[in-house]
Amino acid sequence: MNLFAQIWAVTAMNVRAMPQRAGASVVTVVGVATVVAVMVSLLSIAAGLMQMVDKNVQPEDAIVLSSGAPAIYMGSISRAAAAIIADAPGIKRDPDGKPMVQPTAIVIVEVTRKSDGGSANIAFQGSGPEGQLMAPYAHLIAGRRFSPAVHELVAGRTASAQYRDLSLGDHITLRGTVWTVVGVFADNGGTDENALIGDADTVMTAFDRPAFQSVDVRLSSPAMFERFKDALTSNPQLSVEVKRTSDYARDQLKPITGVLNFVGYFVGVVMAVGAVFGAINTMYSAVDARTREIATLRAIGFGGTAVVISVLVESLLLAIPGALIGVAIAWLLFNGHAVSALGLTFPLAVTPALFELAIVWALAIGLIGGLAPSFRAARLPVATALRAT
Amino acid sequence: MKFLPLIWAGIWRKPGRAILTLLSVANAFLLFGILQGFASGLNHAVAQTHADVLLTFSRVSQVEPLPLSHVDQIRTVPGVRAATPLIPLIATYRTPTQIVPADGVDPKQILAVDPGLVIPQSMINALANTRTGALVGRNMATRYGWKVGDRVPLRALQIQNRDGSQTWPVDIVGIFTSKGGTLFANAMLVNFDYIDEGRASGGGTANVFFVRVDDPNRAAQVAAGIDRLFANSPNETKTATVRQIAQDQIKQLGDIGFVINAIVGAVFFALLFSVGALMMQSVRERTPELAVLKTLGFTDRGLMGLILSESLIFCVVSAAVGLGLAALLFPVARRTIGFDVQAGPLMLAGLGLAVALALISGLPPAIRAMHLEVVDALAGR
Repeated sequence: MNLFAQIWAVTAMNVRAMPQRAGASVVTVVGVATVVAVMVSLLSIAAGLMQMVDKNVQPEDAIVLSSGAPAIYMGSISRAAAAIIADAPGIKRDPDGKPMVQPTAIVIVEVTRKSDGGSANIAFQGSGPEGQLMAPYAHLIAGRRFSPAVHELVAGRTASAQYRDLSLGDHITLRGTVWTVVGVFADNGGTDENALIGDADTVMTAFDRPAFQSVDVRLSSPAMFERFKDALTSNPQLSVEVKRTSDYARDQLKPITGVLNFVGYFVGVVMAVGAVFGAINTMYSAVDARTREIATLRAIGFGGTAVVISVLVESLLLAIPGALIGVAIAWLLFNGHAVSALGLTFPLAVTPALFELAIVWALAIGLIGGLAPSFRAARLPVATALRAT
Repeated sequence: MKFLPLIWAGIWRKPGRAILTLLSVANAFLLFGILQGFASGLNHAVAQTHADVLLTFSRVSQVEPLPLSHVDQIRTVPGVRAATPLIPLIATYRTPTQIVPADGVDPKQILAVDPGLVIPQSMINALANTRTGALVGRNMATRYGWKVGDRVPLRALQIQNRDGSQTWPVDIVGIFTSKGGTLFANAMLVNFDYIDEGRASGGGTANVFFVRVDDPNRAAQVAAGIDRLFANSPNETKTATVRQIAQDQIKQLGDIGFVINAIVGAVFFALLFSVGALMMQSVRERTPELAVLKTLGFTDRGLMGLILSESLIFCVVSAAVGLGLAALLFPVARRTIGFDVQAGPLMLAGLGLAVALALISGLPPAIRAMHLEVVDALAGR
């Protein structure tokens, strides 16, 4: 009998005997499921944040920031500078031949949470008519677009739901000026759903801003980025930084997602150590319960390798359902569950990458847990083991 | 007590299995200790903050500058004892990883503003009389080998010097020892005017004003009074006590308490199974022995008590191992991130959990032992 046939025979025997030791097997399954459920749930926070930020970003999008500004809303890009940027090479043109450039004025405004009456800061963006082309997924779900020169704004769907005085038709006082909410928009679940948008010139006048804070640009292709960047950074009239929008968004979140992921992995590792102890226990008792059968197999010529591998396979077979149950629990409880943190509201995301991680984690627990028991099984002294009761 | 050896022997019947289960329980309690310790340290840190120091930021965001003239107006608000503007000059020393958080403050006001700061008046005078002067904490001075009289070229991360460079030379005029409770324990203090007048742009502004009130119980009214001064101006302010701000920052992170409880709950759910399985297996294997005990005159209740005590002692010992390991980490947390964990209540809560774990997971096997029929058990049926 070749090795594979041997492995198959022993494994099949083990699996058939599993129901007899349901109690011990459940320990491994529950242990792995708990580790996976907790770790995946924790990691889904950062995954959800990343997913929201990445959602509407196109690979050919770039952002121009004023160099050295500590935060985007403290940058300063004059109208003249914005005009120079619009002339730079590599920018995509709209059907009318105009460059797809969107200078943005960003003001942070204070709003009141509906839930507890506390205050929160959200972004109020001033954007020109090009805004429509640049944000292909943004569309109004209620009301109409703001008109220029009057104090009108449209509110993102999340902002409108979460804060006071941001429903359609409401009037809201922002830093001393009264604005009318004329529309509510959706943006495919992107970050902008947490923001307000108004006409650029009106916003700049109302909040006494002499300059834009950033310029969004759509390039004709992602490969044009270097050329576009070089043209702007080598221009002595400008003092700007150019970044791919995707990189910029990720950099902004890196400190937060770094901490979140650290916590997730830390808890995952500590819990996995506990689960490994549980798995070792389960497999030792499985081997003990089958001492006589294993000895019999050895006596009729089965190799040690076949016994080792079959015990490992059994351990993995217990770990995998654990991983599936764990991911399913995390998915059912938290996937799409909206959380509010750091002034943003976003849904948690149990992504395929997290699913893969869960499987890897479970396999590692199963493998490490099965190792020592499998060697004990292979080293059983056949003669004494056959006499075992 | 005389049954203790019997209980002990029951626990160690299968030493390998007992040790593995002990390790998994201890591991869970280690995690419990770390997570709860973190929460307790966070609460303690908030409780340590001053209730009589207010920070006045721009209403819009904590990095938006405010006009310097605000500070004189703030000093007129009744109940304000002292106030200073502040510019954070985050800089590096020789390498980009040697971060030096320097704060530009008004030397004449700083002692009155921060009750936790203990600096001799002579040092303060030296700072006030040296435009490029700097006071550093003992820890920072030791770390970088600075002594009084050294000239240190700081490289600012954001604020540009008027000469077009990012370099800000400062002269160390004093090294102070802080006793804790100060906001500047790990900072370098420099003259506000030196930074403000020397920077390329943004002069005449401050990012935050530090305000000390006479009576902490009236801090809320004073804060509201300051904000009323600037209401409806282009530079509205938001004033809150240091404690309030710390609490808000923690709240911003989301519901930490819920997350920790959820993790601990999940871990204990898994533990119930592994301890329960251990006990159940051990009782099943000992069926004949338990029957012999009954024959010898052990009552049903006595046997149940025996099994429950086994579970109880096992869980408490394992939990103590885990909590002990966690306790070893607490001094490390104090040294590295300044977290002062209240270990006592945490240990009590952990042991309480261990008892609950023992009773719940020990009950089914204990009941099984109680209901054993001697004749059947001895016959191996």
